Amino acid sequence: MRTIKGLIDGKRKRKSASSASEAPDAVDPFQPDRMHPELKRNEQALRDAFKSCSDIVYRSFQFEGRTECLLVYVEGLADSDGLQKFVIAPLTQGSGEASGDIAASVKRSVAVSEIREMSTLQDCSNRLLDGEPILLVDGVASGLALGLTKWESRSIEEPVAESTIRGPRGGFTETLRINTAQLRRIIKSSRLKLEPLEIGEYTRTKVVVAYVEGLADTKLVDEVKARLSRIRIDGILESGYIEELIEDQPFSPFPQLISTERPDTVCSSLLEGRVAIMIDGTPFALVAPVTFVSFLQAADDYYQRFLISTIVRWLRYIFLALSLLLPSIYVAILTYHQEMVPGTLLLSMASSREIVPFPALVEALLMEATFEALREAGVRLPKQIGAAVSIVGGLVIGQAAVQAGIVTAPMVIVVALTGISSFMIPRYVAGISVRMLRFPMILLGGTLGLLGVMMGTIAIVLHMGSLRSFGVPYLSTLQTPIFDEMKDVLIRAPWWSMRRRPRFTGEYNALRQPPAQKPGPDKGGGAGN
Amino acid sequence: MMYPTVLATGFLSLPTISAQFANNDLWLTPIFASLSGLLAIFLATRLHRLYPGQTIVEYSRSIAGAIPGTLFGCFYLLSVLQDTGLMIRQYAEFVTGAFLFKTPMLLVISSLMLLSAIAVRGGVELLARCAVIFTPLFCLPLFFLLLLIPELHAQYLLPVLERGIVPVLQGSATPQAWFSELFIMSFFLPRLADPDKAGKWGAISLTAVILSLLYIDFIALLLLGPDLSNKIYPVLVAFRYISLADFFENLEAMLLAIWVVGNFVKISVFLYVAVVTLS
Repeated sequence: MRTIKGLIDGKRKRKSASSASEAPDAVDPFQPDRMHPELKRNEQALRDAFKSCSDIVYRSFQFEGRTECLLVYVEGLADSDGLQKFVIAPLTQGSGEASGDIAASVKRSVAVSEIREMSTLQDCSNRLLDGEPILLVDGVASGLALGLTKWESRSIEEPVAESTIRGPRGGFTETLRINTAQLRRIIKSSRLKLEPLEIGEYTRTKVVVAYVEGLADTKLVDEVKARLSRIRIDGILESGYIEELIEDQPFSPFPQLISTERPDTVCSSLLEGRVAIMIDGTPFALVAPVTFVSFLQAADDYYQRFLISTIVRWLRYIFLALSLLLPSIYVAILTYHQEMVPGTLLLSMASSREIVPFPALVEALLMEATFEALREAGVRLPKQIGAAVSIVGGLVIGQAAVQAGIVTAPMVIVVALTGISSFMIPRYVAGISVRMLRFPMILLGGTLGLLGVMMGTIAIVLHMGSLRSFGVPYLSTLQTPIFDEMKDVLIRAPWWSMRRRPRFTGEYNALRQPPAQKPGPDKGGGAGN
Repeated sequence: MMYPTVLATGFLSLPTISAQFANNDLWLTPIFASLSGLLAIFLATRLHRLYPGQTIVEYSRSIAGAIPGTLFGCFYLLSVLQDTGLMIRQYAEFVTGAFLFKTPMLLVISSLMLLSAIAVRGGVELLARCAVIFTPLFCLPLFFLLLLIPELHAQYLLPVLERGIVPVLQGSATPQAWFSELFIMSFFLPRLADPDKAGKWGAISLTAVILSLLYIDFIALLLLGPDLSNKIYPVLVAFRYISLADFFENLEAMLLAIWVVGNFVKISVFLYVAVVTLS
């Protein structure tokens, strides 16, 4: 979209852009023409474009005492020490030997590994804004972009949102290159492809589509790239922007892409034939396609012993159902099906209900809303105050409310249990959607009893059944009762038996590893015998 | 998918209907009744092989000619619609009669119809996917009936075939109507990726239906004995009997749950058939 013809003058540019038939995305005040050989005119064009940009530094000097040079860079994004040492020093202290081509001799003198020649001011300004210093030489109709970028960035830390007990501790950072380097450190293969894209008219956010060639379905990769290139937006600040712009069903409560800050999670997805979308400026990468089950699989599952992982996984499934259904079932039973409750329990429940003024439905909604509010308050607050909130919330809301006779003790237990169980879902986003669906379920349970709960469940399953994530049915692993696929769903099969990659991500290279890798003392080769 | 379709409404009241004729030999009825199911599957697969990619409404025109074929299609549409209406009514009566006494039947009916309509709108793929997920959910509570083993009385089985085979055959007249619902699979055959396996899976679901019906008949008979034919919903009664460790009592609400799920699948399937017939 940078083909709009116009003058360098910013004002007229804007006018012509808005009057043009194309979308008003002409934020680049440069004409696409090639650069002028005269340094003065190039400098003037740059200075006009970057008017009132106090962070742009212009440093002019003379190459070998004769040729005028101009170094332009963004303060804070360029390595000024390096510029001094490797660019300005060698150029100004040149030997003065006469050579024909100035551009070639300048290039020869500059001691920087990465030099790219830019033939238009447009390219120059883009490079400049990416942090690369631009060297303009009088008499040369091009600018040299020097790979001397350097800015402050966070070091690699343990991911906060997804911590593991056993597993790599490194998480993604805000810098795209560090993140892709982390992927490359894990998958050391030329087949790991990292295709670059730029999204956002103003932010020009770098986005990388990562996949393993030969494992990922080419149709899937093309689809991801097509959807990304359709995006027209001012800026991308976080992966959430992209997620909302490329998902299949925008109104669904369920997430259709995994966002993760763990390089190992991304790599294991890539090895399963999925595609990852890495975004500059955020430690979160997106992975597609996903099924609902992938939201219930934690990275730990694959690092712990498989028996333990299997049990933990089942615990998670049970508590997922609990977190969705427990309050609504409790309300339904209390309101419509008291006969299901065993006699002694019913008595104690009835006696605690005696003093409570609200019907069970109102009580449940009240408590669930309070719990959500507490959780939300705890997230936003600084850590020190967060502890205070949980104490106040837990003690005051829980204990005191029961004693004051506003809510019943069983209801507090139910709400606390659902709260905890919703935190058992490894992916935070999936947990939120389940928590959100809990409220309509409570309403259904309070109005139609268990029938309503069943209706709600059917409706949710129906909706999930109709969802697709990049062409893969959301429930695909559950709907095809194929044992090989179930190995990663019902149980977490040991690695030596997970021979096949998930089928839905493509037919390529279905086999993961050769058979018969089950270890044992009879395998030989060691001192085990 | 066919399994819950056939069984959903069947298992609730069938034991009673067959018992009215066959008394203590009612467990034999599904076996005889299954013959019609076998016939239905055979017909459906064979017809499909003759006219691949077409539903019965489409190929009935090529078999019988344009006008009789269209008439047949209309007739089939009417009967499917009537079946659907009947099932929903039956379901709503069960729910309001046994559980939610004060709820207006209209609400019960319309909520389920809404869900089924959404499912049908999602197409056959969504239907199949939901059916696969719901089938275990549907079957699982049936195993709770095993908790009744201490209450079962094997002597109710005797005497076998006391009055000859005729009452058994009479008793199987009603269940065979359920089994013939398997013919509905002919509407799904054109949509299958691998229609050759359809016959096999039809047979498997037929066997599953027979086994489940046998199981339910046995439980109902051994639990209730001669009293069986007086109960409207023997399985409901059976669920009420369940009492384990004074804790698992009165599990009939579970029955309601599976009943809803099964009915949802069944009604969706019938609605889908009606829609396909109409189009």
